[in-house]
Amino acid sequence: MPLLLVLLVALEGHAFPVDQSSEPAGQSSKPAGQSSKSVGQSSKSADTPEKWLETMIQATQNLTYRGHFVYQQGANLETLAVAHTLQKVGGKSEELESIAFLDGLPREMVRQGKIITFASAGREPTRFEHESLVPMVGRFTSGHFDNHYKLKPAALDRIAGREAVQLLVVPTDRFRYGYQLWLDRRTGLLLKSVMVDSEGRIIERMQFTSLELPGNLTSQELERLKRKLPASTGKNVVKLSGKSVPGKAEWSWETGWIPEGFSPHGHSSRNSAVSSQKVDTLNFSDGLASFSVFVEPDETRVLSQATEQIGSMAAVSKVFRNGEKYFHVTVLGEIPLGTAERIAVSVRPREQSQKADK
Amino acid sequence: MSEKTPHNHAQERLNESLSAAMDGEAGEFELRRVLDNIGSDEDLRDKARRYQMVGDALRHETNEFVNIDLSAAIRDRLKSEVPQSVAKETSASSQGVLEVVDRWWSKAGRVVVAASVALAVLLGVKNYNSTPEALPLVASVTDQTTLSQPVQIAQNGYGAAGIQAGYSSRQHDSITPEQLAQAQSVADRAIRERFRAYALQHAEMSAMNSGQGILPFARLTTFESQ
Repeated sequence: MPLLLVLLVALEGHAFPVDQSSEPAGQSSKPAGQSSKSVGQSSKSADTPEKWLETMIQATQNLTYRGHFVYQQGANLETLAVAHTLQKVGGKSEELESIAFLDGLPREMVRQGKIITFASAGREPTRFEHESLVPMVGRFTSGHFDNHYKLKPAALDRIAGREAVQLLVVPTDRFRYGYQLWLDRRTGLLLKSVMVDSEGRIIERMQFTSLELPGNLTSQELERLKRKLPASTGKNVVKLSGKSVPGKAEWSWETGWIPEGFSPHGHSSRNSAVSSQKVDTLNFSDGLASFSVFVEPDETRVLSQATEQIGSMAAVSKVFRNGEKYFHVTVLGEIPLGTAERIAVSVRPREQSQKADK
Repeated sequence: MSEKTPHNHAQERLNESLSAAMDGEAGEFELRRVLDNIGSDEDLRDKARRYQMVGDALRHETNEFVNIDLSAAIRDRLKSEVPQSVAKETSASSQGVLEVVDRWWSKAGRVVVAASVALAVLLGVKNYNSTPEALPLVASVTDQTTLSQPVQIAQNGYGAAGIQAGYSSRQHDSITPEQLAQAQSVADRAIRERFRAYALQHAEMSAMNSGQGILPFARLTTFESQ
């Protein structure tokens, strides 16, 4: 640690050069609004770790890039390819993105604006549709991000042949994981990410092995990204709503406890993929980590509970009861298993409905 | 301190072991010591129940599922199994009981069950059932072949209440261990399928809501390769 501090001092002023001409629009705690329409290929640099994170999100969404990266969790190592660009559709710019697994079973995620399709060989494609997109602006500079993570610039490094700024993201409690992030010094793109638990054990690692930032993707690439994807059957079409929280009376359940700093960012109510019931979904994020809570009526009468750590994902399944009805709760997320369990256990019927039952 | 007769000393150690066991921190030896005595020692049993209630209250556990009473089912199960193990083993000590419990659990499909779960179940979360609200759950399911699981709250350093669950049968007389195991494997498959299906949606929502760009989808690798 002392060594790191020395390093920090030494790097102060060098690691984070401020490009005066292109400072992020929203300097203060105010969200930057819809950031400038033309985020050039050489995106803005930032001078504080928080602004670096903002830049990271903007870069991921707005730049045109292609590259290969590896993803490791546990003993598994996978190679993936990504291509990303923006296209103008009726005056609005839409994201076009493809992330493909290059090893094993061919799997690909394609994002076409508000529609995301996940295709896997031998399975029905799953399509997600967003009713609205919430711009991820001001996520780190506004709000209370720094109550839950301490950000420390660590060092300059080199990833995939590019100069990278390393940030340490240290959680202030044990409800979330910590991160080491390497951001492209020129654009802010995330080049490498390491997620660690409270003991410092590495949970997952993502790292670009090659990255290009061409002005435009080739016409073949664009064609591929814009191709019409096989329509999926109705039950796999998921409408996701960006509105923050569902209306009070809408759902019969609530979470009794979620870790501080997490707020709901998206919800949906749809036919479950695994039962004939409607499943309510609520997604929470603290800016970096996120988890989802799924609640559906249980009809199996086999009340099963399970707790599983699957790679970096904690998965908890349990049942709660409201009067004569049983409900199945599933919590999934990149959070420590203990956190996921505590969230799952806290899910309960809403107060008023509980009273009505008695 | 002339009171410190060997008996009291042993009692003291037993209490310490109990407290450790309730905290999920007992070693195997300590746990055996507690299991060995819990059947015959009314004081110890009461103490254990109190510990558990206090512990749950401290952890603000008001979950419905702590109310499930499995002690009867397990006791019955133990009764039917103990004779065999006694016959097999030269000493019908607590070790026998523990093994029976272990065997029972593993028959139910759980290979690893925290010792504290077994203990909690043996003690009977029954205490809770003295409250009227807790009763309907049991009453409402007795007429059906319903499987349910005990929940034991374990401390795991997150200040979080962890779940460690095993399986039990309410109608253990009519369900063979094989059926139970089969039911469990069906349930496990269902859960796995559920996790997989929901992981996709979680990844999708995370991609939209957390600032991690390409990571949410890369994370699906484990699900798809299973």
